[in-house]
This record gives sequence, C-alpha cells and structure tokens, in this order.
Amino acid sequence: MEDMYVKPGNQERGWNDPPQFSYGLQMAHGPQRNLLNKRPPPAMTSGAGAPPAAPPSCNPLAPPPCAVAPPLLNPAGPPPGAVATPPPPHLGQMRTKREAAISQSESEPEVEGVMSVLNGALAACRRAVKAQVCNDVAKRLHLMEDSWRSGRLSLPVRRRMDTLSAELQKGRWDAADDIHRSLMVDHVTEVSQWMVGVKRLIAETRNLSPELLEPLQKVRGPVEEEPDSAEPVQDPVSES
Amino acid sequence: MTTYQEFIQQNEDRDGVRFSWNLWPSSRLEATRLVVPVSCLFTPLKERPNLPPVQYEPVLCSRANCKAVLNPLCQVDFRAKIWACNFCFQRNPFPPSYAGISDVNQPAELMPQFSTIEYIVQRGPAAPLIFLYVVDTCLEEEDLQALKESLQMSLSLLPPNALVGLITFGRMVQVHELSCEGIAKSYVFRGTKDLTAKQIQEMLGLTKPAVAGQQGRPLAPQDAAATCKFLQPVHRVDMNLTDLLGELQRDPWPVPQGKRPLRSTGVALSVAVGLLEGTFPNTGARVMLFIGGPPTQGPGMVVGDELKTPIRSWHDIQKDNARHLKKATKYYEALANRSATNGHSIDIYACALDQTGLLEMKCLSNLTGGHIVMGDSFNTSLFKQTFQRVFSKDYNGDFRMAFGGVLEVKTSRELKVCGAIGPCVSLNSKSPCVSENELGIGGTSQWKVCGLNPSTTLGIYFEVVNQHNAPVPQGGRGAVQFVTQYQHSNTQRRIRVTTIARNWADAQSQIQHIESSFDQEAAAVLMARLGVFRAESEEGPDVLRWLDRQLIRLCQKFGQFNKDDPTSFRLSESLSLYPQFMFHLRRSPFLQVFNNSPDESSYYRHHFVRQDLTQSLIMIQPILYSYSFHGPPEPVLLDSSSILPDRILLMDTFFQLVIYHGETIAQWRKAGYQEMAEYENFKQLLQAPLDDAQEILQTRFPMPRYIDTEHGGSQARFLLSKVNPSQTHNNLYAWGQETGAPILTDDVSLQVFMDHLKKLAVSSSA
Repeated sequence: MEDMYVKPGNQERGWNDPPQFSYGLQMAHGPQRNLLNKRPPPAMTSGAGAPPAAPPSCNPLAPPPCAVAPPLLNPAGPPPGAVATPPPPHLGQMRTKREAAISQSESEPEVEGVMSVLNGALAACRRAVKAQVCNDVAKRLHLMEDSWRSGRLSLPVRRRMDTLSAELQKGRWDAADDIHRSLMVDHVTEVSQWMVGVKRLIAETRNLSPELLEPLQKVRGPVEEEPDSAEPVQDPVSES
Repeated sequence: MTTYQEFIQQNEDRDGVRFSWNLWPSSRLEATRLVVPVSCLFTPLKERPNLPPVQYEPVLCSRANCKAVLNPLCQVDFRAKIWACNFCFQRNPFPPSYAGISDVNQPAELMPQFSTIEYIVQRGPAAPLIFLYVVDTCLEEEDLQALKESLQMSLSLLPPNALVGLITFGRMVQVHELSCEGIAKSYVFRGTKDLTAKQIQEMLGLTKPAVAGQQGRPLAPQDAAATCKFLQPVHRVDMNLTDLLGELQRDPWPVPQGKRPLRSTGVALSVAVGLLEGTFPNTGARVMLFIGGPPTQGPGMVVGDELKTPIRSWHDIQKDNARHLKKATKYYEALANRSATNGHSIDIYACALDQTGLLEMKCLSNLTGGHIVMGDSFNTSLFKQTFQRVFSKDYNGDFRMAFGGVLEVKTSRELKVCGAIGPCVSLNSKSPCVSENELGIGGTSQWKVCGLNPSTTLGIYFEVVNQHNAPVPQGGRGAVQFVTQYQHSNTQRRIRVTTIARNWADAQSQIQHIESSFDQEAAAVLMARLGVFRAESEEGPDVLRWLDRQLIRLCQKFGQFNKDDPTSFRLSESLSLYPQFMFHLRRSPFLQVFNNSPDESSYYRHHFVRQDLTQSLIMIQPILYSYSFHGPPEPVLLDSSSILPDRILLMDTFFQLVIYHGETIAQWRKAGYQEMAEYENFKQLLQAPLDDAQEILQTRFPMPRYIDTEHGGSQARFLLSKVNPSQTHNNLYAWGQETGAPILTDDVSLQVFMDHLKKLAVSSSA
C-alpha cells in the first residue's frame, strides 16, 4: 500500500535520525509483540542456580547455515576496495506488516470529480454556515485546484484526495477526516496551505441537517462507477 | 502455588505496582537492616483495557483525618450495611444508594479483582483542554519552515473543541490574537523586562477594569473563554491560525557576526504562564515551548550573546564558573512552581546542535509532568514523529495525556510515607501517614502531577514505624492505598483507586522468606532514582560512594559466605542480578556526567525518573540481542564477549537503537551478497534486526536515535561504551581467540567489580 511506508530519516540535519513511518503505518501497528525484552541469565555473579533461562525471542529467523551460506571470507584478508561502500538505503529494507498487492485502479484521479464533490459540499454548507467561513474554505479549495492543475501535487496526494472526496460524498465523515489527517502527517509540505480548508469543510458538512446534504449525494463522484475497486485503497485508512 | 515472580507480575499487571520487598519486616530496626527501603514504583494511570470505569462517586471513610476509599480489604457487615475502614478501623454506614448490596450482590469496589478501580465523577462543567504554543523564531529558515509545518499538522491532531493559543518570541515576545476576522493583531512585550503576573494580565486585558477604589479582578472562567481572544477553540480558528503560522517569519532583528540571536525565552514563558494563570487556573493545559537555542537575554538567560563565551559545561559548573546558572535556575523554578500550582504542564521541545539551557529549564517539565524532547533540528524525523506521538491515542480513541493529577497515599498505621521521586510537586499535606524522614520529595502524603500519561511512574518510599519486639500487627498485613484524581483527555474528571496489602514478617525468624520476596528489578530502579535525586543536589563521587556502600551492606546482609573467604560468596536467586544492575548504573549517564553536556545529563535524568520499570531497567542495563545463522535471535550478555565477527547485535538503550554488524557480516554486506538470489538467507539475516526494531521505533516516546554501524565503524562506540569490558587491552593475552573484541578502556569490568565486592562483603573488618 502506498500509504504504508518507511522513509529514511534526515541524516543531513540530525545524526542517526531514525526512519520516518507514514501515518498509515503508525496507526496500523497490531497488538504489541513485545520482542526484545529479555535478558540472558547471569554468567558469573553467583554460584547458586541461575534464575530460569528466559526464552529467546520467538521471531523465526533465516535457516541455519547450509550449502548456500555465504562463504567465509579470509579474515586476514583486507576488505575489498579502499573505500567502504555505504549500506543500502533503508527504504528497501524496512518491510511493512501488511504488504498487500497494490490493486488500485491504474487510472489517474480526476481533479474535476474531486472538485465537484468538494464544491458541492461547500454549496450545501453555504445555507447554514457563516459566509466568512465558506469564503475562506472556497479560497483554499481554489488553491488546491490550482496546485493540482499545475502539477504541483504528487500522485499519492492526488490519489488520497480522490478517496477523501469519495468518502465525503458517501457521508463517511470519520474516514474522510482520517484521510485528511494522514495527508497532513505524511505530506505536510504539499498540503499545509489548503488542507485546513478541507478539514473545516468536513467538519461543517457533517453537522448539516440531512436535507441539505441531498444535492451533495447527487454530485457525480470520482469512483461512482466502480465502488469495489476503491475498497482496497480505503481499508488501511478507515478507523479500526 | 504461585512463585514470587508470578505474584510480582500479576500485581504489576493489575495494579501497576512493584514493591522492592513483597513481605514486610515488622519492625523499624529490621527494615533499616534490609538496606533497600520498603518502597514501590507506582504507575497511576496504567493502561487497563479490561477495567471499565464505574459511574458513581467513591465511598469514603467518615473519619476526618482518614477519608480512605472503600476497598476489597475492608470488613463488611452486609446485614447491618456497615463497613470497617481497614486503615483507621472506623465503622461507617453505607450510603443509601447501597441499600441493595449483599454477600452475593457486592459492589465492584469490594471485589478482590478490583483492587484497582476507576470512578468517573461529575465535578462542575467539563473544561476543554488547552494548548498554548510558545515558539522561538530565532531559527534557521529550514528549521523554522519545518517547525511551522509540524505546528500546522498538529492542529489536525488536536480535538476540535480544545483551546489553542500562540506566542512567538525572539528579541520581543508577541502574544497573538486569534480572532476570526480582520487584520491579525498581537500584543508585544519587551524581552528584557520581567513583569509580574498581574502586570501581564492587565496588559493583555484579562482583568476587569478597576472601579474607583477597587483593584482589577481576573475574569471568571466562563467569561474568559468567551472573551479571551488569545485562547480560542481549534474548530473556530484553525484556518486563521494555519495562515498565521504559515506567515511566521524569522526574528527580524539582525544577528551580527560572532553573536547569538537575542532570545527572550524567560519573558515568553512568564507571559505564557501568566496568561493561563489569569484565564484558566485549575484546568488541564499544556504550554508547549519550541526552542532552537539558549535564552540569551532578559530574566532566565543562560548565556550571553557573544559566541566566544561558550555555554557552561560540567567543567565550568564544577569550577563554579557558570555565571547565570543559579539565577536562571531560580527564575525557572519559580515559574514551574506557579504553573504546577495552577495545574498546567510545560513541555520543552529543544532542537539545536548546541545546548539550549535544559539544565536551567528542566524544572519546568520535571515539576509539571511535561515532556522534554531534545533533537538536532526541527527538520528531522526524530522531532517530527516524537511530536506527533504527543497526540497519540489509546484503544478508545482518547488522547493518552491526562491533566491535573493529584496523588494521595494512605498507609496502615505501621507504615509511613517518606516521599516520592518523579514528575511531581509536593502539596504539603501533613496527614498522620507522613514520616519525618524524607526520601525524595517528602514531608507530604499528597503530590501534584500536572501532566500524566499511561507510563508515568512515581517511586514512593515508605518507612516501617513499628518498634522492635512489638508483636506482629493483628491480621498480619500492612496496606497502602493510592488515590489519583485527574482530568481525563475527554475532559471527564476521574478518580483511580489502588489498594494493596502485603504480609508482615518477623525478620528474626523469617529472613529467608523476606529475602525471597525481594524484587531485585524494582529495587534496582528505586535505588537508582534515589541516586539520581542525590546526584542533582550533591557532588558526583559522593553518590557513587553512597551507592557502593548500600550494595556492600546488602551483600553482607544477604550473601552466603565464610568470613574472609571471597571465593565462598554466594547470592540467592532473588538477588543474583542486583550487583550487575548496580555495576551498569554506576557507568550510566544518569550518574556519570563525563562525556555528556549538562543539557544531555538533564535530558537523560528527566526521562529516567518517570518511566515504568521495564523501560527504566533498559536504561540502566541495555538489552542486547544477537542474530546469526546459528539459530533464532537470542538475548546475550551485555559484554564484550558477545561481540563476534559473524553476529549482528541489536542494542536497545532506550535512547538509542544500535544495530552492529560483526566484522565478517560487514564484509559480506559490503561485497553485496544480500543482492544475490542464492544468498537469500543472508538478506533475511540483515533484515531481521530491522524488523524487530520496528515495533520499538513505532511506539516509543521519545523516538530513539537509530544507529546502523559495524565493526571498526566510529558509531560502534555506542555499543562499545555500554558493554561490560571483560576483555580490554590490559588483559588481552589472558583470553582465548573467540571471546569477542577488546574494548580500549581502563574502566573496571564486572568481574573485577564483583571480585572487589565479594572481598569487601566477606571481610570481617568491614
């Protein structure tokens, strides 16, 4: 899933900066396995029976050495090359727990679909919410549309906005809210200028009385023709 | 029949309590002879997913100087509807609502499995949580941008009806009005002049205008909420505040060559504390201070603005060469105490390459239960993710933070409370349970813990007061009750009550039983906290001498040996690990300031005296796991002999996660075997420690540093400085081949330490 990832830390600004986990990965961690919390029995501090040996961590590891074990390099020989090659970047190394096959639709999300849903929601809000607030939201939606059309938004952001608008249209406020949060956490540089408008839109829309929401539901949404293909995208970010 | 290990674990799981002794010596004299005081680590808000809170008020003992809460240890007469307090023996009638109780219909608080129980109580209108950001603008562009983005992001993580405020500072201090319309306004204070709380409140318009002859009065909280333009609900001002944050600029005052920026942290904090004091006293609030360097002007300055004068080091402090230290510390302590009195906690997020003055400012967080996060830059994953985790939620979707905690400890009459060590302040409550002897923050049986989370743990120290040769008290058990009142993050007021009991034992005849009830892990952490508490007020070598003295006395008391024969010395199972813990504690950054700046020492100590037992033990004696082709990963001794060429080691010190590749592994990795299909198992071997480390990286607060290193690498020093140096350049030729890498140090090894310890313990001239 493209929203469950680990990036390396910023080694230029902070020494030994830890890797950065995406919002989806942080929220998704399952029950604590509590590895790495055992100590071996003491070897030399007492003659009396050592306390019961702690069972080793239960993570099954690579097979014991067999024919394909790496050959023993001559320990006396110098390491090859004069300059040590740096270890491969962690991006490839960290595995996520729930790596599902990426089955999203291959098509590029449509800005029109997303904007029509958001503008529809805004229009519904104008009946009940102060004009000042609606104008502020409109300004930000405009900013977002601008950024989208001029190619300044990355694909993951566009995809997630697509999903967000789908959730908003279906009235799944918590899911939409969660997606907004995941975008703020993972892509704050791209979205910080306008995302608060989307956040406010979700907050105001969910408080509207049902009859005001009808026009929103009639708006042609981005994935209305294939509701099922949207599921795998939505699962990781829905509330668990 | 449960062993003591199981008993200890069950009690920790249920009540969040770990006692140093689980069988208590019945006289004061015998208790002092045990060396380690009767004491416990207590986690007031331990996460208990299977403990639903009850929705009524707790029933209290009616005696005025008791007021203990009804608990499973009380004797109950169901027919007469009367209960006897187990602390003062007062007989109390049940309230009318308990008319229906009986033997088969008991209220939850009487059942043994509810030794810990939580009550939700209604105490006035629900008060919203308050978050006041205090932001240093004397940062580099890149850092300021990253910080602004993190703050904007945090607005999405706050609950919608929380109140939020913004103060920015550099040379001047600006308090921003968060009104929803029109031009952004702010009130500006000079950074050099300290003002009283009253002056600040008047200048910010927080007091009603003075009627002729009368003083201005502070506004009532309801008025304040409506009219306090500086603290507004997130859902109303998020768009404006996002814009405001986005437009923040670097402090405009130019910084000449060779100078530091003028940073008025002291006045900024004074304004923040005064603002909250005047508008929302006694409500849960967090002041979140973000700084990129030390305070350089005004009250609380830590260093001058000349770069050629470096900020104080431990060397300077020992030579009494730290000009601003005493005054600055006093200034921040006064602010901290005021804040604690109001129930407000202060967090410090300090990101800079040099020190920022945490030594002077640590009391702000230590006394109020706030966080200290220390990083190199705001544009790092360490800061960003640690900051996100401040707002982490539990299994119910509620924030893990709690506010305004008040902990009260009651004891049965044979026991008294000497004090507490942890992120708290004394409430000076002189109940009959208070001992005259103080250990930690003493002279009270009530403490305030303004900022709390599920892992916050206090060390509480007791004293047995029974006279020698007095009979073992009737009933044979001593009891302690912990009552924690607090504001939950969902704004409910709650009371959590934990009541525990342990048997008394006559030390003369039952010393083996008392010995087997010793919890060496808890004892190590409790003694360590005492050591750190002393270190903060005494010279370094004195603390080590004191610690050594206690260890020798403990070994003399409980060791089995023949006089003057060190080789005969044995310790039983329940004490066997204790000397090792003490050995590592002596070398730890909590008691050794060498190689750490004063800020770093303050940072490490801050985290040490508030973590639960497991994490504290990791800090004292890091955990080491070994990965190899020879079998599944296993814990190994924290010893140089564990460092082998064909192993990968994973070390967790709490503050760092170190993955160390042995010499052969490193060569294979460099040769790229992990890329080849036939060597898939090597790729898996390299990956395994990373996977195991991931859980820690994803959950720990604060986020640890992550160090990937190998044999001969400069970063390997993090591992080499922690392991027991059983093989050094001094004894190299006495050891065989496959026993690990020698450590270049003159530090004493555990073996030498133990030899000395045994010699001193068995000596008849001690």
